[in-house]
Amino acid sequence: MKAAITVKNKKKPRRLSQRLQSIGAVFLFFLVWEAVVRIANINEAFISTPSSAIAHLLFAQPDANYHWQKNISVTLYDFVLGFLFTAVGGTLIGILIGWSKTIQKAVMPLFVMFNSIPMVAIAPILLIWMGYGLKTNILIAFLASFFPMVINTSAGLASVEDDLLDLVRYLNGSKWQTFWKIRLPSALPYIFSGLKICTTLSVMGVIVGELIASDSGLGYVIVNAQLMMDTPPMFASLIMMSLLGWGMFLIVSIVERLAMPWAFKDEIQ
Amino acid sequence: MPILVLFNSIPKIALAPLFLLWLGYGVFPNIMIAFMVAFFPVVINATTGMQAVDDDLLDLVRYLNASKLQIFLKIRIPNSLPYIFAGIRTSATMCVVGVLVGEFIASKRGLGYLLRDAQAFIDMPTMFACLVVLAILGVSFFGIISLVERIVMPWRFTPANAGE
Repeated sequence: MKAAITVKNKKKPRRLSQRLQSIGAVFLFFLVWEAVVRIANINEAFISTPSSAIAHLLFAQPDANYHWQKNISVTLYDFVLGFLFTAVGGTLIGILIGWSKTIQKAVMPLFVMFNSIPMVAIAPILLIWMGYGLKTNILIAFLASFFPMVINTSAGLASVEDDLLDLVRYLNGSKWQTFWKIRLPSALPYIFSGLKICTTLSVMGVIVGELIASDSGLGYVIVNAQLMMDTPPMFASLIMMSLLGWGMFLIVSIVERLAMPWAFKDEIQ
Repeated sequence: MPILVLFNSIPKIALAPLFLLWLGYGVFPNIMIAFMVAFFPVVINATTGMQAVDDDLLDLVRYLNASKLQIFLKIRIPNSLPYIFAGIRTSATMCVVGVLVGEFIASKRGLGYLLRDAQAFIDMPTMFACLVVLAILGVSFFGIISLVERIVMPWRFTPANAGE
């Protein structure tokens, strides 16, 4: 187990030229897309050009007002809160499970059962219980990303080498000390990879909530635009959602570097 | 690869309305949505697995004059199988989510449709019945994948490795 982690963290630093290459490839992809749509003269109701998607996002449109500011902030709010709840709640419950064998035995089968239900399917039930609105979307995001977080955290806590634990016990380390100095640091890579998975899943949860029932947010914009056969705002919403997910991923990566500087020593050299 | 990463960062679930617009209502767009949602974990895992071959092993085989095809068939593919199956497990879950969302947004049949329909009538027993069926579907999917995994990679399940 330990070897797997060190291998994973020993990512080679990407050189500038490689980065430029990837950016170039993505840019080229958008250029080709734009060119194909323009040259083949495809109807905008079918697929929009990237440029008109961005134009819809940045400039006021004559025929419709999409309230970007309001919708983006609603989705952002839902997403950030849902993610934070997951991050804190999931880690804490994961720690509880890792801490005590009794809790693990009691809770784990329940979790496995719940995990086999697609969380998205619970969304309509939550809508009945809680009505439409922000709370529901936050809860859907939380449920969609909660279990990976718990499972990653408890797996991380269990991944400590037995020899290390024996050594610390021999040196009279208390349970508390073992936890803070041994178990938690060795669980950090697992916790952060859980957080990274959660960024994607929380965005998905929020969007699903907004798709099926909501009066604001980017998911609402997409459904609304679908009814109007108005593709540019749909693509614009997609761009914004990807940026939200990316931004959170970036923040998690930065926090990861700060929280476990030892894992990135190779890259700095 | 950068384009794959770009696509991977889009929440694919949000593409569902777009697919409905392109392909109309029905079974086919739902299959396409499920495909879109679940496609990337498998691709990314398979690529990772192919690249995760032990360098020493590659050197040894090259020294023994193995052709590129042989390396691919005998070393890279067996090595990437665990990764591929992990990807398939992830995508089994994602597929169900994709189909459900497709059925939520627009469909006249399917469990997602039934859920939405029951929601409109506040018919809780039907909704929970849907959840049970979905859970059973998910579990049996996992069972089938595990079975195939055992057949394809018997060496992972020999008694010597059973503890892993």
